[in-house]
Amino acid sequence: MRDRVAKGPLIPYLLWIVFFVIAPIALIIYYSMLDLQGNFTLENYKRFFSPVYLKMAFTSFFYAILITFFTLLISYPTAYFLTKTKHKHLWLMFIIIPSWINLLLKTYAFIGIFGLYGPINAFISVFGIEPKQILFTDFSFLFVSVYIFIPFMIMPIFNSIDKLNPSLVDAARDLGASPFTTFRRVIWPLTIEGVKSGIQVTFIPALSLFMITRLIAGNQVITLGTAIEQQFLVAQNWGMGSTIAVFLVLIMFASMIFTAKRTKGGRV
Amino acid sequence: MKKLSMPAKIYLIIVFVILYAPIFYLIYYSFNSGGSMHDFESFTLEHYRAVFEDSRLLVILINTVIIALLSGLISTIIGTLGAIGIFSIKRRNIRNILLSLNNILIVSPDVVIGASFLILFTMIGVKLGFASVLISHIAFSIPIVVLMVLPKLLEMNPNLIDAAQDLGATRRDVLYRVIIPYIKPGIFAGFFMALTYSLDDFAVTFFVTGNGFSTLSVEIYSIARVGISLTINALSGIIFVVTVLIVIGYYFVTRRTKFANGGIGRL
Amino acid sequence: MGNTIIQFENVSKSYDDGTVVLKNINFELEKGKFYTLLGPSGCGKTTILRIIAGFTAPSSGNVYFNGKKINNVPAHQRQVNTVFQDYALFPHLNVFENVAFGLRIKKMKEKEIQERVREALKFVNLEGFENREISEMSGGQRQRVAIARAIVNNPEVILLDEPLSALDLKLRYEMQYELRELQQRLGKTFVFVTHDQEEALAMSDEIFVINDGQIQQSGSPVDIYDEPINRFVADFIGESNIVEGIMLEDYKVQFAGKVFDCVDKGMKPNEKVDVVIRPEDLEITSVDKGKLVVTVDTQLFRGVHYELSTYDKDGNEWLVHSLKKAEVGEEIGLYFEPEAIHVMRLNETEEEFDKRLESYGVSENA
Repeated sequence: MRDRVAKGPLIPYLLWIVFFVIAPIALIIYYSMLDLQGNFTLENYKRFFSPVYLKMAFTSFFYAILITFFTLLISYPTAYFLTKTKHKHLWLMFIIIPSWINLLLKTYAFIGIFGLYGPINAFISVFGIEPKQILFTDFSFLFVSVYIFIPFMIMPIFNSIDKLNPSLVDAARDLGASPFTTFRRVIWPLTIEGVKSGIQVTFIPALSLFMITRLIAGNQVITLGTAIEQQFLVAQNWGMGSTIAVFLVLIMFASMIFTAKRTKGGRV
Repeated sequence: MKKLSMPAKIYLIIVFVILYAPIFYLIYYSFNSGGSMHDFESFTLEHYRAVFEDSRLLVILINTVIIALLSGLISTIIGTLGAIGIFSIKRRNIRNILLSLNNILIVSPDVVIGASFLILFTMIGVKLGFASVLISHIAFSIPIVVLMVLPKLLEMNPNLIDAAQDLGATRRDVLYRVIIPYIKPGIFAGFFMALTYSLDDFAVTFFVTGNGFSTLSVEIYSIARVGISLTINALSGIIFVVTVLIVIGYYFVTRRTKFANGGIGRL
Repeated sequence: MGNTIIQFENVSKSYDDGTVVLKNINFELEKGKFYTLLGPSGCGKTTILRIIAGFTAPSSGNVYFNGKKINNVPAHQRQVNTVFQDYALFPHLNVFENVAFGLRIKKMKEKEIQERVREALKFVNLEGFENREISEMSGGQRQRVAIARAIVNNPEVILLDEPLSALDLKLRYEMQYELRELQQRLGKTFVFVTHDQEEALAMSDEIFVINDGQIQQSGSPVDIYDEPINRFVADFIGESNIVEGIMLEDYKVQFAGKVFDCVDKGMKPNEKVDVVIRPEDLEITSVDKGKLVVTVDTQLFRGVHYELSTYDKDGNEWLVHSLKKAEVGEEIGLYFEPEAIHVMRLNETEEEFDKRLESYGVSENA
């Protein structure tokens, strides 16, 4: 068969790929090998492997894993129960609506909620506990991040559970599997693709958060994202910033391979 | 279908409450005549009046909407054409390479996109401001449009194209009379997603915006870094109502076309 | 030659990965006839259809339409229309607009479009369905819309790619009549692809039996049914008992351990052959009157007849269609006329086969 339609439409799209996908990555790599004066150097990489940066990378990873874990822990049952509701797509809509409220507004809300005079402190003071600063702690950072990511994790998981043929669950039960075995041997493996994309849309952004760290965690938590912002916009050291970005890009590629689907054609 | 058990219902209710609590918290205090987000003093609409009297804020609001509409429109056109182009490529490996390149910007951390675009604009000499923000928003919205349109193309019965050609349609006819009408729901979904991406973006804009130009996200960030302003609360009240209206409208429009394809989130 | 509309000349088709779909196909189709390409799935019949329609180009060989070579004419410029297996109706257009699609492409005047679409829909008994959405139509109705969409363009040839396969049995029977009648009313050439031998036998003027990318046999339904060229055709068309035998001399064939009179001749002495006897040509009789003695293994009631599966002493299975009943486990005799024996030479080409049959004079009297 000949080509189904003309190739002409592809041209602006290909230009986009060259200028906004390939060029930026190339530039990041190029800049990562420049020092402040614009000379070629590998000094940035050497610095990245120094204890200070490694420790920061490690903490960033640690927090990202925690955030992803808790988000998944809350989202999977939510998605599962949602598929069992009567108007499931309507309810899913209601889950997604908060994700359409500007991210900054939600974060801003938590400044009030976790504040010294905020409702949380007011609540615990009922039990005679002294109000304390919840804002600017790693707890508040974790909580807000998980809060932000939940809808994004629920969506792909909901879709994969929703696609699951309910007869398969009946079949497993019919063959003598307990509800737990049914979940472990049938439901979970068949919805793992949704979980994977959920992890992908959570883990990488969690590594690179900088707005939440600044507003909620004070400077208690420094992620790779915060460091990049710091280097680019405060220290004006684009070379070092790019070096950290290179590592984020590498992690991103690793996660793309991890979540690569083995399905044939069909849904992307 | 089995009914939800009581614990499951309670669980869902708790999740819903937590998800909505911060939003309603913001809106509640937007009516507080006291200046803070605690100790509600008395009901007032003065913060809402303040939103409409703050011409700087209004300009930023308009900028944000213009950027969203323009970038949504342009990225939908480029992305739709791109999806059709990818679809028309027969060679599987080339198709897969393009798709992987497409997905890079979707999984890329915003900071990296922002930083690399900053370098790019500085190098080719685009002045930071409206243009750089608009171009960035177009750039990061294109791949999501492709991802919304491509599944519609792939689910289309390939015989439809043969049938159209069989009935005398040229390639042009096939594109305008068969393909585009068929994938229309995907195109709308793509446009809608592009809009929300643009409206929601903070990190990329933060990197590529200059001194003179600001969008809502960036503005809220700079206010929040200083402290609390109930004008922001009032603003979120307005945004929430508008969002809910749009979402409900969208739900009823798309439910007819049975479009249940959850988008891929991004921050 | 003047009556030929489509001609294939040494047409072959293979794909980049080396799979060969068609091997040296030659045929001529005449105007106004109903042709069927019959074969199992994957035999290449749909590829032939796609080459005629212009969706697929042949790897070698030529395709002629009204005497003109059309290898490089794109699909949208050919005077051929297709009814697709899944109908390929445009889901975003209603019934009227689906049928009008080809006419609108040709930029015909609105009034004429209205007229012709109505006429076409009337032709397929779908008057009054103009404004229905495709999703509101049943399988049989969609089928008719697809046919109307093809005939409205007044093509010289209509191609039908297994159009009945999605319909239930009863509807399929009805549509067989309707299609045949439609073809005769229109007087157009129909090329019909199917894997269902009953459909092929019921509707066609001429059948091409295809297997493995090659035309095995072509001819009228009666010819093909009564005189299959080889084991494949015999097995594919109708139900058959096929056993190996030896042609001792002219009019004498040996199988199942006995020698029988037959009407075939012109083979080498003691040549190995395949012997076919149709189940309906076998008659149940007593053991002493039977030419073959068999034991009844199973018996199914098929409505018009009983279908018996029986075995002779050598272990050959003999399928019998009989109006009479037998008992399972019973030993019975089977009787048949010499004309019921059909002898097939191994690896005979269609040309040799036709020549041999001609030499028998009038032998078709089944």
